[in-house]
Amino acid sequence: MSKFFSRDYDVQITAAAQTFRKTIELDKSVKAITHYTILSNREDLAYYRGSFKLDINKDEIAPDGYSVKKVMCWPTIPPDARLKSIGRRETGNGQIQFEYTDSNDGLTTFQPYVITLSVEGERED
Amino acid sequence: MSRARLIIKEFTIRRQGEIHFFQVRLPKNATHIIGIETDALMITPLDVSPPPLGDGRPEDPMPPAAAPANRTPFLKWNDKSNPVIGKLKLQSLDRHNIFFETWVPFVHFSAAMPDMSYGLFPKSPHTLILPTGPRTVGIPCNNTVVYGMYSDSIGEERKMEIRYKVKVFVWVQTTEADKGVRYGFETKRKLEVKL
Amino acid sequence: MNTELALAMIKGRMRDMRYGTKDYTTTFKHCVLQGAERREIEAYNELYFLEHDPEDVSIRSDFGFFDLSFPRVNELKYEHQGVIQLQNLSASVSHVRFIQVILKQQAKQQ
Repeated sequence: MSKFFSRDYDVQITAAAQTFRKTIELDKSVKAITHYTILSNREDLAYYRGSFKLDINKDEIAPDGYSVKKVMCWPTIPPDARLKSIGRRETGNGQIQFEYTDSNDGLTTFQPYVITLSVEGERED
Repeated sequence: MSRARLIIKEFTIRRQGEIHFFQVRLPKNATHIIGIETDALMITPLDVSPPPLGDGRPEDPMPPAAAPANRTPFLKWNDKSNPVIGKLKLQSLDRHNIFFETWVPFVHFSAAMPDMSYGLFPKSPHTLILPTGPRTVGIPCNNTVVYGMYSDSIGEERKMEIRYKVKVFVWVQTTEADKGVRYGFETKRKLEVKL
Repeated sequence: MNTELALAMIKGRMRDMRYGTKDYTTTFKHCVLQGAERREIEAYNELYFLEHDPEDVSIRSDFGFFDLSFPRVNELKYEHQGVIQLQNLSASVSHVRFIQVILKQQAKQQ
């Protein structure tokens, strides 16, 4: 019987218009990833400036350039859709590769902020 | 089951009223186009408040008969508007000719919050609450290319050169094995009416 | 674009859209636009192919755009459909020649 797994991983965004990569090693007990979303302490910056790439076990879930606003959530999103469902992706080698690209835009000015990749899944123990 | 893949096409609009033709390359193993999403990244600073209506004096006590309706908010919380930035059309080279056509909006952050500036329950002309997730298309594709045409309208409307990047997200169904990956919009249940 | 290339393109294009050579007719359409004239052609269920490069004329349609004097476009299209708007940009008479592809009734029923 699998148990619920949920974890947040932070990426510090320290410079404007750059790509930040993070490779996450999941616990051995984590068997599958089912949902993900992107959170931030400056949601407006993440919304306007962010794009990302997400690989789970070398399988491309979201390609480079996908907008962060497409996976963020706000009040009008139905509660059961606040985390993006990706079915049930087995973790295999247990690696999640996350790339976040900040790009300059005309509506916001850059300040250092934190991007959080939040994943949910199944674990066994 | 087969796997859905996301293809991203990005291009930059630089000038007022620009028309941009482009091609989206699909992978060879794509069998269907299942959905389209759009997004934009504003490079030019965008005036957040909408352009003044009519002669720019919304408090005009006696508007002329032909003037647009006076939409002066009585409870002004924010005046954010979600401008429409242009029109996107996609054409397949197969028999499904022009299969997708939409006005691309630029949706501000938290613009989907209820807009109370027009009273409690009126229709606000500015709130543009969009359904999340891709718009379903569902056509087979035999070619590996989709033609696209984008024409700018926000620059035309505001009479200035507005630079922005348009992103077109094309979800395709491929012949790969899905290995458990099923995106949320694929499994979303349609509303059924049982009689 | 010249006539031979247009005809060859029409053949390929109609084949891609699953129409055989018997399913459509091609005719020639030569529009004479007076100075600064604006004209609309309704071409639903039809395709119009430009047969030459008309100067001083702006052509806009559902999925096409052709205007040699318009600087803010990255490509020009010779294939037009839907509502085609012709605008003569000069004060003198301009000519636009199209090859018009009309579908036959039987083709629609298949």
